[in-house]
Amino acid sequence: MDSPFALLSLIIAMPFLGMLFVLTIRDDDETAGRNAFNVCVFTLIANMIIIWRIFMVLDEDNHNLQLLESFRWLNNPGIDIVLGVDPFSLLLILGAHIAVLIGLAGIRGNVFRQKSLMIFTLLFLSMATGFFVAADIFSFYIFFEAMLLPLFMIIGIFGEVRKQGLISRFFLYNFIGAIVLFSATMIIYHYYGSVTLEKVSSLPLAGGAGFYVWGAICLSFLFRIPIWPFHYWISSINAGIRNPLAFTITALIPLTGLYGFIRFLPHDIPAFMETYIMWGNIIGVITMLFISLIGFINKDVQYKIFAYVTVYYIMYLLGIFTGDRMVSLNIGFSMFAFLIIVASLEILSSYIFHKEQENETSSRGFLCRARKLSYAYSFLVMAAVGLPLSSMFVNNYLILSKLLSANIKMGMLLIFSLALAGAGLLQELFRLKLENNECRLNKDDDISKAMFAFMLFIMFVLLMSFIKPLWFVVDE
Amino acid sequence: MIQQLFFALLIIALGSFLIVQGRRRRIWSVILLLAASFFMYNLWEALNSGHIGFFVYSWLPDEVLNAHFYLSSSLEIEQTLFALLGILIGLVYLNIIYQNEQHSLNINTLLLLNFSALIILVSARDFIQFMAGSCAFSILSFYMVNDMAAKSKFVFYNFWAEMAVFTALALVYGETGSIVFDDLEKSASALRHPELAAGLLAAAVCVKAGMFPFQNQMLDFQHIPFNRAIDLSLLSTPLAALFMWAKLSPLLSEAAYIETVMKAIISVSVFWAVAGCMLADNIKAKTLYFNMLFWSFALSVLERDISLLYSGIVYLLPFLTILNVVMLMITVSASNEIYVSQMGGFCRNMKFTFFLSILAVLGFVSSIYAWEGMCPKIYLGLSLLALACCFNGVFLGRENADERVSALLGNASALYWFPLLLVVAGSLYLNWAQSWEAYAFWGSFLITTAFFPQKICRRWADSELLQDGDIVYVLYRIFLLSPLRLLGRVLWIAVDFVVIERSIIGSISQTSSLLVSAFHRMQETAWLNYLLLVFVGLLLILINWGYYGHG
Repeated sequence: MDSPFALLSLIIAMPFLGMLFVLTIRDDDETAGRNAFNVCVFTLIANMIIIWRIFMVLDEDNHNLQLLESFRWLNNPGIDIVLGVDPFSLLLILGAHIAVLIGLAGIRGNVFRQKSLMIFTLLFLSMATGFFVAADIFSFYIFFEAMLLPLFMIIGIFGEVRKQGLISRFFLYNFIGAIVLFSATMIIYHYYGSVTLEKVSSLPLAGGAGFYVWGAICLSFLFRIPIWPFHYWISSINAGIRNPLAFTITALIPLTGLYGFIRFLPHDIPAFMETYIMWGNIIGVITMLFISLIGFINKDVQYKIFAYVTVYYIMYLLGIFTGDRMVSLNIGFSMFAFLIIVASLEILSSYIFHKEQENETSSRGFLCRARKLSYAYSFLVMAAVGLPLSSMFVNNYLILSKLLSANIKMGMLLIFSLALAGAGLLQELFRLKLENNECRLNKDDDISKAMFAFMLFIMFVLLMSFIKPLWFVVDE
Repeated sequence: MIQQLFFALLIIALGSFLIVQGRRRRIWSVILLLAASFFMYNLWEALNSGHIGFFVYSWLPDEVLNAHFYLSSSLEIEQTLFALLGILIGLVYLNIIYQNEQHSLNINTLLLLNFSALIILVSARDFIQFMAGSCAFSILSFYMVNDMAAKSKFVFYNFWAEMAVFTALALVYGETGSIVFDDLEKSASALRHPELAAGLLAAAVCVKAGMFPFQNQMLDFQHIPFNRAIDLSLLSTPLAALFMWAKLSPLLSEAAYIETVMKAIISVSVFWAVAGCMLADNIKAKTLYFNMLFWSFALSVLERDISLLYSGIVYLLPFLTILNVVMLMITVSASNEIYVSQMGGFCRNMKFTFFLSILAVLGFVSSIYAWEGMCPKIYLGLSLLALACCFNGVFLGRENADERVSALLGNASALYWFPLLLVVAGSLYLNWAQSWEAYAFWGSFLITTAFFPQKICRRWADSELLQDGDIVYVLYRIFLLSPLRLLGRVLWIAVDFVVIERSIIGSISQTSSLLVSAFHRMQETAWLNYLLLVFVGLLLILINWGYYGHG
């Protein structure tokens, strides 16, 4: 075991323990929500400190899996559970933690099913962390599917619109995805035993078996990404959720599909896979254009954010399809900022939506009166559209340069979609800033000082990610 | 020296953000002005001593993308920044004395920060720093606009321009693997798609400089306070466009069509600017059109020789600033009246202002002649025609001002005219025109001012379409925005709802329910169902037997 103090197991166990702790809290309407919330925040911060510690012991320049931890699960058949991280996966884990922490800040005052939300959030985070540190096919599959349980519950409780339809779609797609991935895992195990993820891409899977295994793997990951024609279930879920934490968590679903591609795709893509990749590129670009156009015309901010999230996820997917290791690493850095920006934008949008509902008024012109909110919202929108305010700027530059050099037409369409999705967010910003006498919201409805301080901290983190991506790592 | 200037500006600007915007904002603004003047003095001393600074920070020390943050300079850059610092100080001073500006400290702080962004842009030696500087310049300018309609237009135009630059430079890096300006010539010739990269950059330059048909982002500044309109049209994106052109010229010259296209755009822009300058009734709009004329001229000069940016154009900018301030001074003297149709005959009460104005024009003409060979005479003629039209409408002819304006009409306070007089006198002393042509132009200007047929222009003063209409935006809405919206809606309804929701999801759902009901019926206690199941089982066995054989 390379990892000191089994740090990787610890970051999986910590949220799980937190969840057990929350479960034991007395279910009292007055205090349960607050206590559960505090435990959740504490667990998250504690886990982030451990993640920070892992960054310290990690070799940043080594892009292979490090700090390996191996456990024998079954003797007959011999199945090992292996955990490991590289800078890319650790960045994603940290990004997901910060995104969830931001989501938590957005639901501080909520009372509706707070305890349940905290339980499933912590369970999701534990499973998601396990997924990102999984280094063998079995642990990968287990965590990949285990994430679905808390997600299913969160969507079931907080997916407010057309709930039953959403749940059935969620089940349908993920069930099919689970079956095909399981069959692919079994075939790999049948031929090569319990292999680590790093070896999967180099397995000599040829002929019909290779065609099926890679097809099944691609399909199961694509189900998680809002790519046409599988985008509708995620769009329905995201556009229907008004709880910012639930939205942030569901917005992490495509990340799991992307991560799967990064872990499984071989760097030297075999010839038979090029057909899949080509179709993936074509469908990806069409989806981007399609979603960005709809996001641009749609007046619902939730859909605009969804469109933005989707377009960026697909850009990352197309970046992964280039098979370039440098692109993959840049996707990690870019996604770190992307997750933070999306979560922050979502909590502020949700705040505005709730103020609108409370006061039964239009939010148009709200930002003219709420200066603190205006500062934070403007900054985040500008960072989101790709201005040099976060690591997305430089990293997206590198990703797009590779995509442009790979296929100029695809690259241009992709950039057009990015610009359109960004323009959609700018539209919303100006709607909120346009002076409107009918808006009954005033400066008393502005975000609290504590919230503003938190937002300033988030802005600082984003800016630092632009100046020096791994600024928080001190070499030992 | 540049690094000290950059960090000092940054620190002082950030420090002033912490100062609460209260009653003492003008005092703090004066402190900013003094600080900026001190920096200018230091830069002057450094220039005289030939001291060239060097600062480099390894920003992204990656083997794939090795980006640096340079603040090292050359004599050329230091001289350029010196001239621009002079303009900055003038604008900071203007913001302090202009009574209509309620947030002078804020705006001055943004100006200082904007200048820091300009330093980043000018001293960039690689794409990353260049794009960061350009974006920072746009973002800070955005905060200076305090009218939402103007702000939104400014952001959308610049956002698309930044995206165009981003794409072009990503294309260069993707195809050549270099982000360094020193390699640009080599990289440009190795590009597989030079036309695309050059086209994107040319579009970005035109948008940022406010050339036709993208002029409205600059012209909308007529709806913000006059001082801010001047700040934004002088020390903002058009200036960035010039540096963009100069730094990326190897790329632009790779595509043959760019020269023709740029010539056409510049010509139309010049025509548009002159027409606007003469027909617009709002004096702020006239000023902005005049600035558009200047930027068109600057681009036409750069098209011939980019080195003239550092050796000529930046030294003309102070004179453009002076002419802008003259326009502002007229509105201040006329109790903030901005419509030329409500002016006329002001010369009687504002003799000194009139004198100063024509002296400023002489300064402008002399300075252009000081850089002989740079200026096409047609540009000078058109500029003077536009100015003559404006001055005739304001100072000469029949008085149209209302009683309030007439009663309070008089020369602006010494706070305005005294520094202006000093600067104009100084510039005339330094650039005293040696050529008779310069005096011929100035003389023609005086004659045109005296006899300009103002009635022709006044006829258009009431035309709403001409004065407030935004034809380009209407065309943009009709030909770009509406089709995009329509397409988006059609896709949303046709594909999302009809194809996916109704057809795919609907058919899966129907199939599932059909299967469920079939299985449900098969499980019912009826002898026919048992018989059917036995029959299906036997059929499967037979198929298996037939397919795989007996063994």
